Amino acid sequence: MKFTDGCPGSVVVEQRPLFRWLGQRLFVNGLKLMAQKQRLRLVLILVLGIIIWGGLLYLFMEGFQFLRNFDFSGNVSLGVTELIFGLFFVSVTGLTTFSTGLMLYGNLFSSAETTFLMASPASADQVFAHKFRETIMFTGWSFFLLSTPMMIAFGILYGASWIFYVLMPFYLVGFLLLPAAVGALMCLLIVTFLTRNRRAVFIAIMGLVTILGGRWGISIFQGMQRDRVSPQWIEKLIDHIKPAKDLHTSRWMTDGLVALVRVKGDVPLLWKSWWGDQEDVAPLVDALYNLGQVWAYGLFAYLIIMILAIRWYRYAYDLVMSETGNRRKFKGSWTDKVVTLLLSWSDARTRTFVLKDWRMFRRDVSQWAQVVILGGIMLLYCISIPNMPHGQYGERERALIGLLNVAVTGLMMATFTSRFVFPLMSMEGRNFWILSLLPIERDRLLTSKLAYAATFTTIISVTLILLSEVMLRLPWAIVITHVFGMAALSLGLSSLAVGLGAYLVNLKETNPSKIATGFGGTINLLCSLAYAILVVVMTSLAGIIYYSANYFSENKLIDFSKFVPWLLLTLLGLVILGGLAIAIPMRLGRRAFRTMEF
Amino acid sequence: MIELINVSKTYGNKLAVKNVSLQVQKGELFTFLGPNGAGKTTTIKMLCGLLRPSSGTLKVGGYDIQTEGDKARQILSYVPDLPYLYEKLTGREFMQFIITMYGMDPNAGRKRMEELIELFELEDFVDDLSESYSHGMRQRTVFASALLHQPEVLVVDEPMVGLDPKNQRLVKDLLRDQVKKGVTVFMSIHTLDIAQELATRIAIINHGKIVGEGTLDELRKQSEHGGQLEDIFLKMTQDAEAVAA
Repeated sequence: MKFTDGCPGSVVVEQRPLFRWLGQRLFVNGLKLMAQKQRLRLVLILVLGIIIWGGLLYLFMEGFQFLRNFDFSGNVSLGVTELIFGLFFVSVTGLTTFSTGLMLYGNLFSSAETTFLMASPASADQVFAHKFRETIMFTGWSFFLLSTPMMIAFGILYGASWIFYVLMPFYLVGFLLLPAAVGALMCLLIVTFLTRNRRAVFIAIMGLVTILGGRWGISIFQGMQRDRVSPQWIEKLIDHIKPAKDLHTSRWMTDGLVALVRVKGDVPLLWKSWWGDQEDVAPLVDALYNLGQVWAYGLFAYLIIMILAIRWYRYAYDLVMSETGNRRKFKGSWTDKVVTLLLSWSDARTRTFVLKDWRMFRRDVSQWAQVVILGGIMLLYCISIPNMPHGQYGERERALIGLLNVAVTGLMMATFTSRFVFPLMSMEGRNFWILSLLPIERDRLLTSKLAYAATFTTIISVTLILLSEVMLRLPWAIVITHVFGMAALSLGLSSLAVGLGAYLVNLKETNPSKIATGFGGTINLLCSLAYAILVVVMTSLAGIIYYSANYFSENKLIDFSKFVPWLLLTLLGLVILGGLAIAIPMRLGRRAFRTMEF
Repeated sequence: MIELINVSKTYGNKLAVKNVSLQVQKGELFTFLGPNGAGKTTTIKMLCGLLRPSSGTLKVGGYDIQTEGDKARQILSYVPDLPYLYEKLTGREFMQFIITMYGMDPNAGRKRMEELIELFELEDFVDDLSESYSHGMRQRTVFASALLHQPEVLVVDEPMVGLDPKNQRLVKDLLRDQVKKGVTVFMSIHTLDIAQELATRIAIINHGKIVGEGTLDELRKQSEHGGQLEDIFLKMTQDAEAVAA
């Protein structure tokens, strides 16, 4: 198979086109390889990508259509859309800043490619720019997957002209520059000036973000009218979200896109208006002005980090490299004892494997910090339930909120298992021969991963759900179904991630984020989401029947004994669903793992 | 061609390289020996500009690696113990990348690449993605790439690890040939027979300090031991251990 293509040659070294060529070549060769040797994989990626993208487009179309239904008395929907965009872009800003900073740290300071480039005549800023581009591509793809159907649906529903679809991609690409550059700046500053304390600084920032983010989220609900959803309630909600919309990048994006959707596609008319009363061209001017702001600030931030990279990158690289000889003593932790205690139900060998995985996890700040942030937000939410308006609702509404909590926690667990559990098998990588030579059955290795994942996800999720159910003061039967549903969800999701992790193992990649966001990781995430939806539907069965029966009955409450068979049926359904979710992926994983060659 | 003046490097509180001074002349094959963790790789990384010395000066071809690093790296090639190749590039594309990176004339670069492909017998696999290469194939590709821009200084860290006898012979012949052409080779190696066979001068480092330096005969005198390099190495490092203790 021939892959070779010309490389730009020049006597005077111009490194920018060279690195651009490198990036393109790596991408094209990867695609060619897939097209020639991994066709099924390519087809699956394309088909799944189209399905997800199409599904999102449909959802956004429905969403915007729903909002447009309120437009009978003025342009209400556009105002609400502005708020939604504001919230969306603020969230993406935060996520992109952190994920770029984290991923860039690994790419700049601990990759073999960087060591190779730093020993070559490549200038530090070009190496930095190359790795920055690589990182932004990696962190940005999910943003594009989500934002393009959203924008297209927005454009279609509001009758946008062709100019909207031409300029919209420039908005999306330009938007990522600023948060990514801020993330890169944070990464460079922390490494350069706080090398020794960067772990503590990182934890402090993460903690602060968790607390502030959690507080802000809760404040949206707290102190508001403690009754059902009303126009006043929505107004207050909007007041709380407004600051997000007014943040600079978010405002430019929102104002620009909303202006862009109003631009008329009639070029002669625009031309005439430009030289005339300027009425028809005003939205275009507005859109271009905001687009200019997005790009100007993004490029300015990029310029600053490039200037700093010239000055600091080599110095920072030396600081990180010089730490390698600084041996830190790693001892056992009290958490190891807790893990051993939690797994006392399993045999000693399984416990040993689990302990190994646990130690690897707790020593990787970037991994556990994400768990702490999401877990912390959920915990804050659970303990704040009594102060929220829905704490005051009727039993049926509270049961529905309880079910929604199960769904949200389930989706969160699906993300957790896809991000942290799925890569476990692949992460063994080149060390697999150690495990495969051990005098134990390979199945046990897989079982130990399942025990590890299932124990933690079940304990965390069931505790959160139990806490929220108690705070919601739900009847015990509903609590049982929700807790049972959550347990089935956690066990099934863990099994899916472990089984598919072994079946779609990627022994070449060492970066867990890349394993999680790769082909296998995406398949696992989709299967996990589908399973989560099934379990939530099954969990809702008993509640729906119970409350519907009460709703339609003349009497206030139906005799509970009539409800018990439905409760048992729901629990049986959950057992069957959970059992299948454990058995099928584990069977696939075991079969692949038994025949795997290293 | 290579000059280290009172170079020290600390990792936190640990002094990894202590006040090392060395001079390697043009066309020398200088072998750098030492036990594991003695400071060899740290010294090599400082020489290539990957690490900054805590104190002292390193010069390559007269260029201070800290202030004129780009110029120094232009005349230097580094082959690490675990060499890097882009998995999704072919050997030929990787070499084309190196040609442009070092600012070679494209035509001259292409001609030189073809010569090296032939010399290292890369024809059979040079257009395959490097992810499919064996260790020997990778090492040969990396050596060919390292010699593309005709470096004046070649820094090699453990070049024989994992190579079969034929490839070891190829690397040895190549290093001899480079020295004949006036290239300065700075090599770290654990195989003392090869060091003895190839080196024009040898330095032994232990606990970050140079404990012996010179030709084999000079080392014999310094160690007051008349045996092979292996015996001299063991004696000098053991003596240093005793002094350290």
